[in-house]
Amino acid sequence: MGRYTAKERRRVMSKALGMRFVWGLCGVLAGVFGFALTAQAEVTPDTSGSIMVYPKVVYSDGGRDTVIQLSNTSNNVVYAHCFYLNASLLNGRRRWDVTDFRVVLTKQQPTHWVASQGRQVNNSDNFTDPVQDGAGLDPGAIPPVEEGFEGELKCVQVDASGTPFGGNNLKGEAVLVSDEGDVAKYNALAITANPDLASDGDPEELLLNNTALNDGEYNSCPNTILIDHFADGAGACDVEVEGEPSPCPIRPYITVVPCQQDFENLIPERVTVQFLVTNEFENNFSTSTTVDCWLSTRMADIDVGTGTCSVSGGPCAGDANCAGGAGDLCSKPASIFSFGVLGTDTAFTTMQPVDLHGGVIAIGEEQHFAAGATDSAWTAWNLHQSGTRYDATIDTEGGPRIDRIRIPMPF
Amino acid sequence: MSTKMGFWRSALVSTAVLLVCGSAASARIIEAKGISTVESGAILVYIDLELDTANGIDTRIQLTNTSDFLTRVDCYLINANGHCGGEGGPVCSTDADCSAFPGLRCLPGWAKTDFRLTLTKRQPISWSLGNGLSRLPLADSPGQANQFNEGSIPPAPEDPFIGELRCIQMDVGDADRPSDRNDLKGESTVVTIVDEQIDARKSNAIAIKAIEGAQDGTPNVLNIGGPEAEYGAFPADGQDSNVGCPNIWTLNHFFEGAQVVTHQNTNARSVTSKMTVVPCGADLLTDIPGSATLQFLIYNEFEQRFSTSTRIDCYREVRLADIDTRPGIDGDRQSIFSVGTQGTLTGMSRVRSVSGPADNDDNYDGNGVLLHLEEQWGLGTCLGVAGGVCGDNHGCGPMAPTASCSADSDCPVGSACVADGLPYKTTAANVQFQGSRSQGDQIILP
Repeated sequence: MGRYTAKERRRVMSKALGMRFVWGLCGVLAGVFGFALTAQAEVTPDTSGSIMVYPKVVYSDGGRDTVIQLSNTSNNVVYAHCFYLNASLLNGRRRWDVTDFRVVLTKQQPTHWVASQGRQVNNSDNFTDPVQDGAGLDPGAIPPVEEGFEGELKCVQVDASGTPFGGNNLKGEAVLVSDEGDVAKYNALAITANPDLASDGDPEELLLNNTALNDGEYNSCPNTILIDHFADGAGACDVEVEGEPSPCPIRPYITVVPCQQDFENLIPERVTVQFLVTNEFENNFSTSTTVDCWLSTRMADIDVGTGTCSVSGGPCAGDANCAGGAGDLCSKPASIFSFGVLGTDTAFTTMQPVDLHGGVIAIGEEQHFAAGATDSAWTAWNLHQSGTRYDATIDTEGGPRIDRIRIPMPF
Repeated sequence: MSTKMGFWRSALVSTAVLLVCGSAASARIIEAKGISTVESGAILVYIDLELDTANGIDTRIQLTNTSDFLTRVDCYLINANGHCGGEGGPVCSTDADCSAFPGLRCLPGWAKTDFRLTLTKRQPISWSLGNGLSRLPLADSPGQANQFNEGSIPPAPEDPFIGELRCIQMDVGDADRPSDRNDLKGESTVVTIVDEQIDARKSNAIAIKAIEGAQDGTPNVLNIGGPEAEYGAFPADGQDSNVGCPNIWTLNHFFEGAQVVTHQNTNARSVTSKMTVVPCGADLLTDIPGSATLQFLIYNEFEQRFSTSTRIDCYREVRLADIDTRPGIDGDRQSIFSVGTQGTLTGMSRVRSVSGPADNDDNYDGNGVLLHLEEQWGLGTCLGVAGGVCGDNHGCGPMAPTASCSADSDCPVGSACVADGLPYKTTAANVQFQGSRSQGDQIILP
């Protein structure tokens, strides 16, 4: 018992070696062909797609407004079903009200509208009248958002009947414009569809499960967001104002939206994300927060609630609590995102959902202050990313995580 | 007999391997892309660099190693300043800047300054274009993985300066060989501070991805796409050839002089756009700048199509209206990028560089380009015009309560755009792209 003849040993060894050869060859082939494929960004601002996500759309009187640009990159007529998600605060909680509308774009047609004004269907409007800037083929009636709106815009490519369609023909941008003239532009993030499977199954439920490892409907959201940012309070200049050093501080901001959304039942998605912060000395810090349907925050507010007014010296949660004039800013030197803790001008932060929580999409912003904070300038940019949520959770118990976008049923 | 059985056994095993591997990696990549603005890569190209100390302009550059390994980087800072009469003359951007030097024309320049450095595990660094970085953060004491920074970063060789920066990930063990890892990411932020005003715009460096294991025996010639691709990507389903630099760039932009009204029709800003183009390839060995012919298709919101073309050599930063008309505001109203010509506020331009001519046999004449877009939103007002703007680009109509201009071309003939401080605020955006081409591009290192 338990002893093999020489012939049997050769057969067993041969089989084992053979399988080792097979899997080894698999590994080599996967290494050669697979790496380039798995490294692809699955949700990208670089190319057109079938779901456009504008993570930050705002309008407030005396604050910022948003100009939306949307284009059809194909030679066919393209239809899109768009959703404004109003995530403004009401009684301390995020509203999650959805307003939807349809747009139609002809061959290669670009269009635009302003969030606060929407766009009427008016064949006689013209560009020479600045208050009627809707010259062009109107894409459809686009409602304005209310004063105080903050939230997201999402446009899903559909066919003429309204059924989701994986044509990958939409591209877009958003410009955040302050009433004082400051501007910050970012590209909308495109979720690319698998054209063969995008309208398979339940047409009202879009599965974000297409990856290098899985034939799915729409590309999976990224697993990790990579953020290169200035430390909160880092100075961009060294000048003196009234004899005091004024370093032109910089503040990083981030806007995060969950990939999973249910527009039919209006169930807001909650995602807990972890941050790992590395400064220029390679020191690491970490924190976490929960995104409840929509999060747009100064990064220093993630881990520190109360700061100190830079001039008046009192406690503050934000600049509005500091009454010492334009230069009286709420500084939060105890935050791990601040210059006070990091000790270097810039940091590298990775953001990743925990456990089997869904993926997120994000953009970054920075507010640069002039000396004495007499003026400020916003910048916005698209954040780097790596991996996919589906592939990263495929070996997790209960995984893989598949984010779903449920659009309302027609009735 | 045994040999025959061995052949069939091998064939069977090979088929099984393909089936097993195929099912495990049923890659559903819609379109392979050789470059990205949101993924790390092996070659970073920073296009939007600007230094002009006299006018308060400098650029903060960020560079990060996203891996857990020590990473070596070779960088090439390319000075694209023009000079009156050539090298050694005063810096200029157009012939008009050389009017004080009779007989001299503004000649484009292309000169590189290179430097090397190492980045430790997950380390970010930043520096200003005007100051460089003489000592890296971990030059004297090691990081957690006992790794040191080596190298230093020189400041821009001239002030004012425009140009690009290319950083290439090199092999840590053999500093003369490019690495096939994709660990670098970067951003640049151009900050302007004038008196009490500030402006900033940020964009991502464009990352060109290395193909793992594809580096050949010629380490100083980097093939991007093409038949011998070392950088870019292998083709996905439906793509015919290796993927390198993009085939077409698609810009959504405002037409020149567009008055964009916001805040429920209470605020209007004049918008102009500036495009920066650099060739995808570069000969850094012989300092021969790349060149390309660009073809434009412009669609307005009526779906009407216009076209034009222009040529770039080494580096070109140009206002959209100056692509088809002479530099400066003269002729802007006749430009096909003008809002007056187009009749709508926004448009989409498709930009394609012409590949070839096929005077070589190696298919490395792709003439691919990389693009960047900057928008200028006016803060000025037209001098002597009651009620704000009715520019010659724009015609005269009812004015919005608050209107603006960023250049004289936004104002009526004979009127000038004046601003108290900054004439405009800027924003930048990475440009989207489509497709690939069978020909590749090459970066040749010293």
